[in-house]
Amino acid sequence: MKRLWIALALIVAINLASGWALYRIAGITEDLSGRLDQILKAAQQQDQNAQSLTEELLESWRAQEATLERYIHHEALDLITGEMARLPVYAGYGEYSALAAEAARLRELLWHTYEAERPSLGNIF
Amino acid sequence: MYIVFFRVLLVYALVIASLRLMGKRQLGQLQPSELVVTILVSNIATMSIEDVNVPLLGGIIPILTLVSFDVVLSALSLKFKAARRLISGTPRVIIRDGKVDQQELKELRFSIDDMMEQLRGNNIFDIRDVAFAIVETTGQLSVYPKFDAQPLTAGMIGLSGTAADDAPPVVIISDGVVIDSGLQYCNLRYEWLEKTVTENGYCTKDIFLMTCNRSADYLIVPVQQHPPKRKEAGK
Repeated sequence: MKRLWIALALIVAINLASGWALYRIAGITEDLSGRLDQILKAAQQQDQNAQSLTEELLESWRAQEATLERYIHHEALDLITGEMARLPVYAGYGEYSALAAEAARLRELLWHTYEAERPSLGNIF
Repeated sequence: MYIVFFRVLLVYALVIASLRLMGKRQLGQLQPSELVVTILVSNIATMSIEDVNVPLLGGIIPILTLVSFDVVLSALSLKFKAARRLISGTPRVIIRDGKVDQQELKELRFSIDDMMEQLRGNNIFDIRDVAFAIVETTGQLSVYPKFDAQPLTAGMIGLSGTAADDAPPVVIISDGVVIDSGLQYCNLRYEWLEKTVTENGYCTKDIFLMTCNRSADYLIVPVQQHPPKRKEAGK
């Protein structure tokens, strides 16, 4: 009976932990997506603030990546890291069109990574 | 390299803990569901160790989930006969009174060679000696021989033993350490042990293994002394 209770407790704990992980990933994705929207807007307006926004984004990503590494395949995260590193360079050289394109691409990548973790029928099958 | 090293340790500890959670049955005869869990757990553990790009949780969660569901299924099998039948199947009789049930053999896809091999494994070389042969849910064959083919037992020739005969010897000293539960089982005291060990010219630490039964019939295996290394000539 003891083993049965431990097993049931584990099943509940796993479900709770999975829900919490999904909640964290969603939160991080929304935060970064919001920042990317700001960068996209700044690039469209050719605003020089874009440089500082990209640097803040990179800093935020570096802090959040460690959390995401617990749940998401590292290769997917490595791809996003590589893309993120380009943004400050584009902003620094005033390449606003490239910056806008990269920001839009990164936003899609982030949401796609989050969507891949959701327990949907498409993901399960 | 360090990453792989630590992953191996963690996954190893997890698999040991999982096997303990599943219980001793897992290490004995495997039911089909238990076999599936064992294979899956080993594959998932390997994947977690080999591929460092996969988060460790990607191995821990599946292993714990599989093991937990296996325990729950086992509990359901214990409580409900229908669940047991569904998950493990039922034992099937393939030989009755020396006659082979060919239809059952066909349904089980049990070949004649399989049957004869398992009979020989049960020390049966003549099918006519078999009263019942049952294929268990694990695939093992259990055989109940006819009376004429059964090995002779003390009961058959009217011999009866004492209570001490029904109690096997237990370990009372293991690698120089006294096992109190063993002494209690044999209804012996520490003073008897000290006296016996001394009378045989040892002290407790010199003993590798000592067993004893309830009739105080003991066996002492002393620690092996290693012979000194021979020096090579001229050195």
